[in-house]
Amino acid sequence: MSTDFVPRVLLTKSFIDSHDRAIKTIALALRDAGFEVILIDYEMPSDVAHVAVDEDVDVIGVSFMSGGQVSVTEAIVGSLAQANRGDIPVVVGGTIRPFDVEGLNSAGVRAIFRGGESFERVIETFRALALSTRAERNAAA
Amino acid sequence: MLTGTNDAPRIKRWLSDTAAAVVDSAAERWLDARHKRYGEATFESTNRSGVVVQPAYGPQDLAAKPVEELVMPGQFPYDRNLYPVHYQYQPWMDLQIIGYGVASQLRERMDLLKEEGGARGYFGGEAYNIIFDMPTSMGIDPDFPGVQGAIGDTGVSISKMSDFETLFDGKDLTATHVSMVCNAGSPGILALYLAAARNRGFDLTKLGGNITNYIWDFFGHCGGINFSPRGSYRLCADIAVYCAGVAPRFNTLTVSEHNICEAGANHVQAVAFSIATIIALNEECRSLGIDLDTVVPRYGFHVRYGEDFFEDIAKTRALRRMYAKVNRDRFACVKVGSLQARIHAQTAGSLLTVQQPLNNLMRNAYGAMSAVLSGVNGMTINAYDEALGIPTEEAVTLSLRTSQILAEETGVTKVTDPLGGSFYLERLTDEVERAAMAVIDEIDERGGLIECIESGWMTEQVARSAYRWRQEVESGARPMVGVNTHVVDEEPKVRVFQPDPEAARLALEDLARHRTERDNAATSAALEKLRRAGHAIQEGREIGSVTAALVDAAQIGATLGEMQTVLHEVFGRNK
Amino acid sequence: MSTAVVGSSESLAASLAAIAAGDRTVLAQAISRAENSPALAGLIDSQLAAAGQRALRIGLTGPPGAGKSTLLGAVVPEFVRRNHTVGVLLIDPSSARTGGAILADRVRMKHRPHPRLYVRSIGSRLGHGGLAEVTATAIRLLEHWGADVVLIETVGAGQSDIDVCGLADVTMVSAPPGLGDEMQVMKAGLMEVADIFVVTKSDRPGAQALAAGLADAGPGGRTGTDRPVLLTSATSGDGIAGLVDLLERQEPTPVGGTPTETAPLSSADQLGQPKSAPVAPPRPVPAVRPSAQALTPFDLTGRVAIVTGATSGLGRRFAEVLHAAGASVVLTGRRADRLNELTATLERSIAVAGDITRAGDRESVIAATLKRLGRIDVLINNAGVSGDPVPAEHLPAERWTTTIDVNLSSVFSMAQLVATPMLAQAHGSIVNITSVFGLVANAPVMDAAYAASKAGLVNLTRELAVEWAKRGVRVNAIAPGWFPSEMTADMVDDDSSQRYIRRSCPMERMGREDELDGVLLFLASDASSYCTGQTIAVDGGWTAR
Repeated sequence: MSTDFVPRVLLTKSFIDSHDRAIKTIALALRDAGFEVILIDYEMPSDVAHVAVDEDVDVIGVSFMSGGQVSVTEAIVGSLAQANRGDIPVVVGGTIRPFDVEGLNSAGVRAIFRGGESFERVIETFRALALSTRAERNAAA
Repeated sequence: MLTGTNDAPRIKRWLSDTAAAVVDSAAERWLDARHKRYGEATFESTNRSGVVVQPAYGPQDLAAKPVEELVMPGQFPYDRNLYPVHYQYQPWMDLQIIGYGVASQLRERMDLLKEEGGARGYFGGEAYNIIFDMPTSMGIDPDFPGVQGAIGDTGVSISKMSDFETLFDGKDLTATHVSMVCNAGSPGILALYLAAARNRGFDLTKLGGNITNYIWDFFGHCGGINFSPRGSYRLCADIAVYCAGVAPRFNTLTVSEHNICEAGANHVQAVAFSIATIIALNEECRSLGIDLDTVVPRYGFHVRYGEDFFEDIAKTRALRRMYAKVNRDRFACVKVGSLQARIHAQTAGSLLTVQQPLNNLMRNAYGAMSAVLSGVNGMTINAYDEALGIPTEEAVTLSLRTSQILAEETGVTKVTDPLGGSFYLERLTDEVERAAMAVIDEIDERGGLIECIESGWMTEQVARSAYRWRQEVESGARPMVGVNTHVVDEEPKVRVFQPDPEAARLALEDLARHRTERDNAATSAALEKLRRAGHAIQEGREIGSVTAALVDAAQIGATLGEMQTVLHEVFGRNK
Repeated sequence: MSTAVVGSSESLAASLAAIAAGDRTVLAQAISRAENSPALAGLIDSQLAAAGQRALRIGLTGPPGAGKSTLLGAVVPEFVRRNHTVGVLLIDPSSARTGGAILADRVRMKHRPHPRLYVRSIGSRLGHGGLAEVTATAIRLLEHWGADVVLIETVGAGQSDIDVCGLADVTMVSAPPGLGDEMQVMKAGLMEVADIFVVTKSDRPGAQALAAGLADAGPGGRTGTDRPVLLTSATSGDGIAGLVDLLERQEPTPVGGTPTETAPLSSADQLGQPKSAPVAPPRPVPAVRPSAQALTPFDLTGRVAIVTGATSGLGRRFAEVLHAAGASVVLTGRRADRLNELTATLERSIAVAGDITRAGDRESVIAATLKRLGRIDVLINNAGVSGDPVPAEHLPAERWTTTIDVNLSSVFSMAQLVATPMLAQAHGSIVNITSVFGLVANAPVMDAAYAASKAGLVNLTRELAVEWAKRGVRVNAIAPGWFPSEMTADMVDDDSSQRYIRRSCPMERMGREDELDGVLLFLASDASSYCTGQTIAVDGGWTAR
């Protein structure tokens, strides 16, 4: 792995969600940890996948506050697979209720962050996922 | 701040020479004693807002206060209270947030709340604070692709007039205060409610309630599907003018200081941005030739409590004072109602923790106490399990009990503005006002609020504050019990409310039936009339006609999403 | 090493074939790899240079808050609607400290996905081989993918913009109406790169006035007639179709060529650097051990220096010295013929004739320099006048005014003009040529205006130095004593003058022409990197006693 590698992450919220404080804060934390953060607005799931392809991101983070956690995540993962980028890991954060967890896990999310999660764990999780995505992709190429 | 011996001339402005000398000497002796005992340590602390707090205050700290602001409650600039006596005559209105599922499901919960002694409005009436699910809040119908997972999830799903008829079936709406928390969907939701009331034969002039109408929302409360800032202000003006004529007791705008805080802003920013919102809307209305005294009395604020006990109170007083001064001095309002900022308090959701969730009960109680000591008009105390999801019934009841204990046991309601005259609090109020005015000046210099929203300056300011707050929590500089101090190693064991998965099916079936049963031709015509009204007000004509057209369309059978689509076309989307 | 994995020529060929076939996933990954590996970027460049496919490359820049992304959000769909295949590169600054970046232009652009549209955010990533280099590779990849229009949005400040705009066939500068916006455009150093001005938010008050101002403000001899000013509103869509019409009429640069020059300035011009190969920005010089290597701080290779009054003896000498140290030199003076003679002997030089007391001429000098050489590192404020001795009580007011005008006011104006690009690149050295008679009286030579102007220059030097000290721009002065020049020609052979010099100067002689070289080179170069606000007298000890 080249030392020049700058991990690229995509952060977004669902088009029917609210309160973007957490995602903005995580964006700044990741920037300060040396990530390139592509920050997009509240988006439809298919649009999230489209941006992920064009921007060639290594990880996608989706933040939730007000519902639709499982259905929106499933839709994003599905759209990624359709775009042949099912290899991009998806992590979710925010208000994740106990009854959301099973659905999120079976949708294939790679990490779940709840309120109060330390920056350190968030950053390290993103970094580890980004490194493995990039390594696999380079090996494939 | 204690400045020692040089304050005597200023103190003399309102104390006798002798008294001034005594005060000044006391201040000096205090400083001496502090130095002797603690050396160079100042014991100053700096609030997140940047306001510096001293370890003690005295009469000299009031020296800079304009004499005309030494007033009784109910007197201009209304910082002490809007009324000469307050809770002794009329307690605050309890506005517990409720909302989930579809209308019939929510109605069951409303009835339960009422049984528990909640839903208490003014003068024996009922009051409900309804929260909508995200599709509704943003004006999207349940059958819009991709939203099914969110129907009834974090609020009630409403898409047509009959949903409100179900929700309030049998209730006297002229004796029911209905508060509606929503975003871009505000105009349509208001129209559905007014149409339901009219359809049931109620006199709209007697209808009380309020709508957030926070449709431009620059803090991301609602995201992609929203109105352009300019279009939003025009719509707000339209709603204000319509209601001033048709439903004059209905509150048409609730500026959400709460949401600004929840987005991460500090108190100075939040107060400044709230007042800047009023300035921008007043300027919009003035440019349309609207008499401000006909619309401004129906604006109010939604303010957050729970971050910093005394600064919470100080910011409330500063907000009321600035509102009075700005509306009188900058906009020449003369009606008393135009100078009085009514406040709906809500405790801070973002300060509740997932860890040791029962601690949130204490946090909410302290936040509610500071709201009461601020003299707020309405009160929402969050459920302690809010950080985990939609509150359980038990948690909602405990919130209500918190308010009841405050009102009935603690005795804090005996005096109006009980902290008025506190050297500390008066000084803190002045400092918050001064700092917030400086922010407003900067917004003016940057070309006004809309410019600041469009350029991204506002969100950047708020995001920076939020990030700093988070960094302070991470470093431990800002203690949060259970998160970075007094941590225990156990999984939280709380019952979490799970929304009824049936809600989506019920909402979809009901909507499908509605679309087939209504008069589609009349609906299309009503929507076309709405579009024409929209174009007219965009050209500065017939202000108020959009809301009128919305209410007509709603009564004929148009859905929230159909009306919203037209509004988005005319007023521009943020996306 | 990622290059080892993806740099093999077979896999690259396969990737390029896939991109040519329209695979946007491979396109996206190729851009990432080029970003992470300058070596691979070079390989891609060399492969695609042969293919030679060219789109119309449109640069878009403007001050922060100019609504660039919003404008793109309106322009891009219009191009797509007209059946173009469009690539968009959105460049945002990376943190110099962490290398991280928030790339959020997509949010403001608010476009909808389309098969014929590819949008990519790029962090400026300092230290990864230069932004222009990565961007150039990305453009080539987009062209290979099939884009016939490539739009590049840059951050709106600093050298990277000028570099990136150097890649464009046509550069739009956007500005919103509002107090002082025109000034913002100028301050950001963007007046010179603009081929088209776009006034955004045309529905706002002041839009027409701004447009008129931009049309008139044609420094560098360029006016609204050769730089269109368009009014647009992304909200209403007004003006967007017209802008796209205009852009569609622009010609992509022919394969292998560089963008053509459009604004002739002086017949004496000799281009030092092609526009598409901008000079690398200077990097901070690390401390070096005192050895022969310590001479390298005097090296001016890659730097661009302006010398005013270059037709005079000292000015000419200054130009030659800077040129010998490696700088590209811009010569200014009133006499075009003599400038042309000089540029003929200096290979990396251009001449811009003009009178620096005239604002238009001053701006032409700056415009020409930025246009031709892409940057300004050094300004030698040498132009000056003096006159015959006149007792102060009889000094004509007109002489006073002229002297102050040339020796002080023009010097200040020139410093102001170069400050914009220098501050933007956070690097620059201004050397003012004052005089010992700015430090002591010059009686019996008796020129109160000269003495006052040169003394004013001494403290102007300090003031500018301190104002700009933290921002990388140094300002120093040289105070020569008596040197042979046109102004002093009469004195050289005059006995009484020579007696006066022997009497007053400890070294008892005039200076030789070469005795200013060292100080000049010292102050112009990084050798004096910790020296600012100083006036160094070079006077044989004249002011020492």
